[in-house]
Amino acid sequence: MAETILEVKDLSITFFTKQGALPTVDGVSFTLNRGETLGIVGESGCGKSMTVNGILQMVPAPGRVTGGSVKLAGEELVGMREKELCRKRGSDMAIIFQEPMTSLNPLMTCGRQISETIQAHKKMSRKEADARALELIGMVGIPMPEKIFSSIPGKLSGGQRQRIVIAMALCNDPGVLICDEPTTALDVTVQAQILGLINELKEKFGSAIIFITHDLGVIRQMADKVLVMYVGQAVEYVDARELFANPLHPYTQGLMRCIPGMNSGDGDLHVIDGSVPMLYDLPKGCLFAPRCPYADERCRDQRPGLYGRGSHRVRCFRCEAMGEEDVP
Amino acid sequence: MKRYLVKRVLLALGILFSISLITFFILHIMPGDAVALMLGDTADPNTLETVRHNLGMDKPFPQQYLEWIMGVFTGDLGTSYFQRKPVADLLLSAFSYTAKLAVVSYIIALAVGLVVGVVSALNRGAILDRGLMTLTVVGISAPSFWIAILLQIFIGLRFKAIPISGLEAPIDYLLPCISLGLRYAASIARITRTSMLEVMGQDFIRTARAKGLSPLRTVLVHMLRNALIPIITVIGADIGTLFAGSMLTESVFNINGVGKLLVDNITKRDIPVVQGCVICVAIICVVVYLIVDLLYAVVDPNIRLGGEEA
Repeated sequence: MAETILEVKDLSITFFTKQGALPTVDGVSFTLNRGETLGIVGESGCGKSMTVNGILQMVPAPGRVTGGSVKLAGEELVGMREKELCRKRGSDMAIIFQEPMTSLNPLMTCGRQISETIQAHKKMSRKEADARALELIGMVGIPMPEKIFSSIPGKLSGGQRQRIVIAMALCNDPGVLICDEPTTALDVTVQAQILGLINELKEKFGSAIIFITHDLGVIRQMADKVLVMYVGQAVEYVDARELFANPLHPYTQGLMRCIPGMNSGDGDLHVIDGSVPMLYDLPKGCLFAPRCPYADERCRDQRPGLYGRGSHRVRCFRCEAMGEEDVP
Repeated sequence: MKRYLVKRVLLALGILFSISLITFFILHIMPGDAVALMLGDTADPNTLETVRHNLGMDKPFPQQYLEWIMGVFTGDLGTSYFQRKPVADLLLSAFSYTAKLAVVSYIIALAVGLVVGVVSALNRGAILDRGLMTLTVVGISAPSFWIAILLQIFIGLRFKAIPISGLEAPIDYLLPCISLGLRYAASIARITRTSMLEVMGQDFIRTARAKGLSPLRTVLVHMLRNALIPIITVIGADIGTLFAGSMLTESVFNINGVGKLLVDNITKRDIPVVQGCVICVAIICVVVYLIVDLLYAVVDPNIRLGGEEA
């Protein structure tokens, strides 16, 4: 049995706004083992990014973690003092953000941005940290590391910047690396290179990865396990291979059919009817019921739990027969 | 960079030349003259003429200006009509007071303004933020001479240890620096707050937090440095009004600085002194603006001076 590095249980994040308390993340649970990659997939605004903010304990106001637990290598992060959290962030858990163009400080050299991260967590002289930063820049596949080291981000392309961000995230050998749509803002060719790089570095550094994307194609390429999210809830949680072979939740099935070339259909691109409900106006029953082709009276009236057998969990009444309601 | 610098220095010289010409012209056409004031209403017209001739005031305008500007290049700014001393000497002793007052006031204002701005931004919307921002409105709106008089009445007269005139001992600086610096502290605080708020919402600040940097380092190295450009612009613009403000402050606190020298000698129509004061202030402003422009490039390497390839 592989060692569990991150355990998220019933994580709930609520935004307290003028429209009331909005359940942005609603009882999400998953476990991540060392060296494993978990993909989190879902439409924009389904709470994917907020889930990782909750893991990092960096939920922006007026949001707050309102329940659940996040255990990193056995240590509870929810309610941990900010000072302790600073020691964890960037060191035991690191994140690669979506926007390489804006997630680097425009006034600081790339090398320094990496070496200051090293120095924040390790007792190391400026010189040693700089040397390590230079080494990392070489490792993420940027030609002429010396030149890039002393360049400000404005001189770099998007792909190069994302490589710097990756080097920065990996500089303290984090146990958990969170990738929040790291390739969404990049060209397709660069995207493939960056995905390859992440996979290659995963082997080298042995980090577990949480990979957030709305692209199932990327999930297939990267993930061992997949968590499908819909309006702040986990709707399906299963091994990646099983998910693609046998998607059970109607939402997941819908997503699969939306991928060009994934179904052997007549060439028409499938669209899931309707739109994501607003958080201040959620349906009474299953959150997906208004868009679900199989929805019946019960679906519109009651919220389904997570049902499952073995490691396959699905939030749908149609799968109730599979087993008892049970949180993985 | 070198070409840019040369261009800027030439431009600065042009500006100084124009200012001197305009001031000279305005002073020349200004009604009333020093000689009449010197000798009184009852003076004999012949005597007036003689004195004017001796002072070189009867020469044509272009000739007067040319002689003056030639003198400037040799370090001779003319001679005061009344005090019979070289203007350069008067300016030198006055300038040391003004410089001390302005520099000390502004440095304190800068420190206070930056701290207040950063604290306000970090506590956005809280009572502390609202209180501080209300104070800055008062600071900006209140005229410095009014503040000066209030300080003299309510602090200077109550506490005998705090003097209300002169600028010799360190304690003398207290009231003049508050009255001169308050405005600047307030405006720096406001622009710092605005600029900080803008930077705080940016992605790379989230990155800095996610990297596990200490809050202090995040604020100073990542936020403040990026917030600095608008602040530097305000600082540059302040320098001009700093001298205008110091005239009033110097007058109220009886400090023998350039401002007081200028005001006193405008009423006396002592043209060489006035001309010297204006040129002196103009040189300071031009130099400060040049320094500010160069500072932009130091703070933000993304700014390329003069459109050159960096």
